[in-house]
Parts: sequence; structure tokens; C-alpha cells
Amino acid sequence: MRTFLIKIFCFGVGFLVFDKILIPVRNHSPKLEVDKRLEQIVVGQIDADILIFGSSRGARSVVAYQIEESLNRSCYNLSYPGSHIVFHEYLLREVLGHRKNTKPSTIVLVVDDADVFKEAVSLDFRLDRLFPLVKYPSIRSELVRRGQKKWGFNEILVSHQINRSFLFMEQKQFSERDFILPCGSMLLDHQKPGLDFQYDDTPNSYSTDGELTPKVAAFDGFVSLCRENQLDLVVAITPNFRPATDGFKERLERQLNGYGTVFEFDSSVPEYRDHHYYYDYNHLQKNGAHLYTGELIDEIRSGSR
Amino acid sequence: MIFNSIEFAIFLPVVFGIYWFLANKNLKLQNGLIVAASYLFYGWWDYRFLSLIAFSSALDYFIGLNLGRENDEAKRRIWITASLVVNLGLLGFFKYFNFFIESFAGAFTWLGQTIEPTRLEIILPVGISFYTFQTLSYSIDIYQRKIEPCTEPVSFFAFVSFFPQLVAGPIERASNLLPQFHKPRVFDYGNAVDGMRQILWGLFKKIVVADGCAEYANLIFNHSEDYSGSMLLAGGLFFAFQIYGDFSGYSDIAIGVSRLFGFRLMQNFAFPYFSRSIAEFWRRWHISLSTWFRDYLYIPLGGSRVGIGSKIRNTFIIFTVSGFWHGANWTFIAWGVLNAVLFLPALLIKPQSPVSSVVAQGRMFPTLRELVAMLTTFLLTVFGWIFFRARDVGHACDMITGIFAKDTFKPLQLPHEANLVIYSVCFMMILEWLGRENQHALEKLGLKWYRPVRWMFYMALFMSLIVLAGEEQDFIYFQF
Repeated sequence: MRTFLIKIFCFGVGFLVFDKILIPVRNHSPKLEVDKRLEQIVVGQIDADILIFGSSRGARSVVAYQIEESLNRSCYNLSYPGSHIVFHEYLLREVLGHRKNTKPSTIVLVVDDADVFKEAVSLDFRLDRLFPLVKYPSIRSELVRRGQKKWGFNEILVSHQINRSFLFMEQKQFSERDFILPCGSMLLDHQKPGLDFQYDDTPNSYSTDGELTPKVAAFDGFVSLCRENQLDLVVAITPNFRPATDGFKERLERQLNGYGTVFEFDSSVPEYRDHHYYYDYNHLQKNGAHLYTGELIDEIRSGSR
Repeated sequence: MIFNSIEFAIFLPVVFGIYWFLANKNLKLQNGLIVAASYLFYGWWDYRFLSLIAFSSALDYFIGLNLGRENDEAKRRIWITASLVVNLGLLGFFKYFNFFIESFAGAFTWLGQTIEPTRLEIILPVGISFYTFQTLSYSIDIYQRKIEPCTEPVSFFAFVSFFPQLVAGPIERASNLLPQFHKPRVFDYGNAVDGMRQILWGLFKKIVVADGCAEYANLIFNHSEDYSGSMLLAGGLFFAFQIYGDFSGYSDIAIGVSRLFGFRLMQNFAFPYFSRSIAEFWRRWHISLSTWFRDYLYIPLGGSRVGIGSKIRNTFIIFTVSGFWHGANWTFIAWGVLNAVLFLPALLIKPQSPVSSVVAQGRMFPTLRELVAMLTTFLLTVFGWIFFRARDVGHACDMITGIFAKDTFKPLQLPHEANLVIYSVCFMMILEWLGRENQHALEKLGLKWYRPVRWMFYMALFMSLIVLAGEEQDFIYFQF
């Protein structure tokens, strides 16, 4: 029995040492990523004055370099396609956590039309963006917080920190749709193939039915972070190839509770009814993005804390 | 509590420590600890299930005593009938009630009379099929005067609820396991170390192979209408390795854990995918269930000492009941019938090869004939597994038709990460091939290597459990 226990103990200790052969694999992983934005956040390299958060609507519809040129203030787009408000709140928290002395002054939160508080299958917390960066302690902590990793093991075992995708060691490439400009925006200059654009004039109104508490709480958290750090906040609604949802802007204003403003595109602009400005029903393409960003610039310029 | 969980990783060393350090040299205390630990292990799912297993244990303990005491054959028949009726009644109620009600309703609808079936909202107690068969075998063995009844309730309760094999087998016979509860146990270093190796290998098969394959098997089976024939076949292959890794992995862990406590359980899988015929496959797959049906159903029906017509009838009965044992669904019955059909040529034409024969014994590689026989047998089992995994019989038939009718030779369109799963399957099969003459793949592998190399190999395997883990899936056989 004694020998058995000693050998089990030795195996355990030996494994802790053996486990460390994975450190180079773990540390090399961020270099293989093509989207460096989250890594730039955690190493404190995102120092722009205006930051854009959102999902694909934010990435495709807001042109950060246009804002930078117009306002003469640095601007960076941190919108991630397929992400939801919980992820945006996490990103803002990370940014502020790594920029204690040089905070941004304006935050633009691009919301998903009518889906911001509701279940949307295409939107998620982009864990896939966090996993490759587990060499950074703050990322590991977040994964533990989200129940993706177990605290004790995460602290001592490199093998627990990584997963099987690390073993491919392949340099990732931009896809055609997800090319990231130096300013962080992801503009599209074509239409989605196979779409037969039909403008549907039928009005629709917003209902609070189906709102999810975690999403509402994340939105509140986002606003609180802006309030506590005295950042201007613009909650932006981007155009869709259909009429705006009645009552959605008011719903957002209620939730903002007096802090920040809700900016909705000017629905009287005829281009927003022209499909040549759209990639698909929900996303603008480059020409539409420039048009919308022009409107947004005026809003930011007016100041909106 | 499942084997591949943090809870079990804490539970096992704690029970092991108390068992060997505090309860050592006191057999009753050790058996009592096994009962307590087993009830904790089982109650972790749902404490309400405990009453059922306690009732089943008490009933068969009581019936066993009466069967042992009684000499009047008529009264003995009453006792064994009581055991069969209550045990199978409980199993039937929890597992098959809704199936029968729905099937009757379906039959009436087919005849033009619509009736609304009353379904019961009941949860299937985990492992009920396993421990019911184990306690039944005890009562039947006493009835047939093969064993003496157990007079120590703690030992008997420990035999029924022994946690390593409680929920998914091996289905132990009283003649093998029960006497082990009566003998003092001595810690055996070699046995414990090999038990640890078997646990490691079982975990690899479950966590890396089975859970990895499950992701792609689920994807393909759940969206089968979207896939080409080659992908549907890949789905069947993934499921074949999933169910093997899952179930044989569980058995390896169960046997390994038992060895840590000084018990020897029967071998449940003997490298079945290296079988050269369906008959051989069924001697190597889920051995504890196959032999249970052989001893308690096939032989009482006349076994092989009857005419060819009766043999065929018995074979169909065994396989159909075996399929139905797996679950209350027509897919399992279809799977059983299909296996009976595949079994028939062996029954009618070929004499069965001896149980102990191992393919390519004493050689590294099989002959071409052996290889062809193994591949053919394996592919036939894959078609069987499609019925086992499918939503319903129609779905299985559609998948099999699709394999031949929808771009059978189209290159596979699997995600990049599937390669790792395929490599892990290949690795498992190579090691299983190397260890096919032993009880498990790691039993003798590497024992002659330089110790640091052997330890690094074990560490790499252990590391793979963490790094290569697929999305966690329940053990498939828990649902049975």
C-alpha cells in the first residue's frame, strides 16, 4: 500500500512537471490569431478616445476611421460579429480595467435592432475569441467566471487551460467577409449573393415579451461602467432594409435611465430604402456605412453624456 | 455521480482511504462502507431511486433465504415466480409502460380507432436494467441450486449495489461476486496498479474517443437529410466507435476501480471489433449480458441441443429480447432482429470458433482472410448501430438507403477538428490490437520499457484526457 501511494504521489508530481511542456503551445496560440483586437485590449494597447462596441451591425455599419478623420479624435471599432450585449459589457470592463489612467471619453454601443434584450440564436458570448488567449491571466479568470474552466485546475494545469484546437498550430486567415481594417471596422463592399431585396413597409412595434434578465443586466452593467467612469455614451440603432421598430428607441431610453442618448438613423434618408446600400436585410455595405457613420458623427459631436 | 466527474475524483480516494486504512481487517465494516458509498454514489443522481434498489435488494435477499430453506418444489416455484414478477414488473413499469401504451394506441389508430393514451410522467431510474438482472440471476441460481443463499444482509446489499458496476455493469453473477464479499480482502499492489492502468485506458476511451466521436455522430444523425452517403456512413462509423469507447470504457473503469478495492469483476468486452464473424462479435461484446441471456433464456429454451428450426427461433428470441432490454423503442427491437438475421449464417453454416481464440494469436498482423473477415463483420455491426442510434426505424432505413443512394463516394466534408478524433480512434484501435490477447489494452503494454518512458506514456495519456476531451456526454448505457 505504501509503495502504491508513494507512486501515485510521484505520478501526480511528475504530471505537474510534464504538464508544463504545453506552455509553448499555449503561449504561441495568440500569434496564430488573425483578429488581434482582444489581445490588444488585455495588453492595454487599445488607447483610442472613441470606442465602438457591437455585433456585426457595429462592425459593418460604423466606420471608425471616418469618425477619427472627422472629429480628429482617435477611434477604434471593437465590434465582434455574432456577439451580444453580455460580451460587449465584458469587453468594456476589460478595456477600462487595462486603461486606468487613460480612459476613453466616448463609447458607442451599436445595438441589435429589437434583439438586444432577447434571445437571438446568431448572437453569443464569443468564447472562441477568449480561448486562444488563455496565456493571459485576465482571460483565464473570465473563463473560470463563465464556468468554462475550473478554478483550481486552471491555476496549476496548462493542459486544463488549453483545448484540442491548440494542437493544430495553424496560422488563421481572414475570411472574405471578416477582413478587419486597421481601425477595427469590418466593411463589406458587395451584396450577399442570392438575395432578392424586397422592402416590406409593414410597421412592427417592440414588445418587452421575451426579454432576458441577463441581457438586460448586462446592458445596465454597460451603462453603469460608462456612468462610473464618466464616459459619453451613445447607444446607436443602425438601419435595416425595413422600417424601424416602433417603440424600441423608447425602450432603450427607459433602460438608460437618463444617462447617455439613443441615436437612431434618420429614416427619411432615401438611401436607407435603397438596397444598393445594403449587404443583406440587416447590414449595410460600405457606402451605406459611410452614410450612417456621417450621421453618427454629428451625434457624437453634439456630446451626449 | 459519473466516473469522469470531479465529484468522483474526490469520492474515490476518500472511500479508498477509509476502506483500506480505517475499515481494514474488519470485513463487515468494509462491506458496510461499500453499501454506504454505493448508496451515496447512486443517490447522487436522485435520492428517490435509493428506495427502489433497497426494495429490490431486500426482496431478493428474503426470497433467496426462502428458496434456500424450502424443499417443496411447488413452494420454491412460487418464490421464484414472485422474484421474477416483482423484479420484471418494476422494470416493466419504469421502462416499458409508456412504450406499450403508445404502441397499443398506435395499433388501434392503424385499425381505425383513435384512442388517447395515458402516459405516465416517470423517470427511468439509472441502471435499473443492470441491477435487476443481477438480483434476478441470484434468485434463479439459488432456485436452480447452483449457489447457496446469502445469509448476511450487508454482504448481499453490497453485492447488489456495488458502486463500480451498479449503473452500467458488468452484470455480475452471484457465483462470482458474492463470495468475494465473504472473504477478507488484502491490498494487492500489482492488482491495484493494473487497476489504475485499466481506469486510465477506460477514461481515454470514454473522454477522448467516445465523447469526441459523439460530436460528429450527433451532428450527422441529427441532420442526416443534409448529408451525402459517405457522410452518413461516417456518421455510422463515428457512432460505432462512440458506443464502443463509451461502454467498454465504462466497463474498464468499473473493473479497474473494483480492483482497487480487491475485487475481480468479469471481463465485459474482449476487443469485439476484431471479431471475424457476428457470432464471435457477440461473444466479445457486452459479455456479461450475452452470457446472462445464454444462461437464463437460451439454455432454458433448449439451447443448441434442439432442431434447426428451434435454434433459429431461439436465436430470434434472444436477440429480440436483448434489443428490447436496451430500451423501449422499436429501433432497439429492429437492431436485435437485424443481429439475429446476421447471426443466422454462423448458426446454419459455420461451426463456431472457440471462445478463447484470438485473431492472429502470436502474430503481429492478421492474414488477408482474417482482415477481410474482421472488416466485413465490423461493417455489418455498423449497419446495426445505425438502427440503435436512429430516432426511429424509418430514420434508420433512410440513412442506410442514403448511404448507397446519395453520393456514396463523395469526399467527406468534416471539420478540421474531426481529424483529431479520427487519430484518437486509430490510436485506440492500434493499442487495442496490440493488447488483444490480454484483459485490457494497457495490461502488458510498455511493462518492459524503461520506467521514465513508460511513465511519460501514461502521463501523455492522462494529459490527453484533459486536452483532447470532447464535449461531455452522458454514458450511453445509463439510459438502459
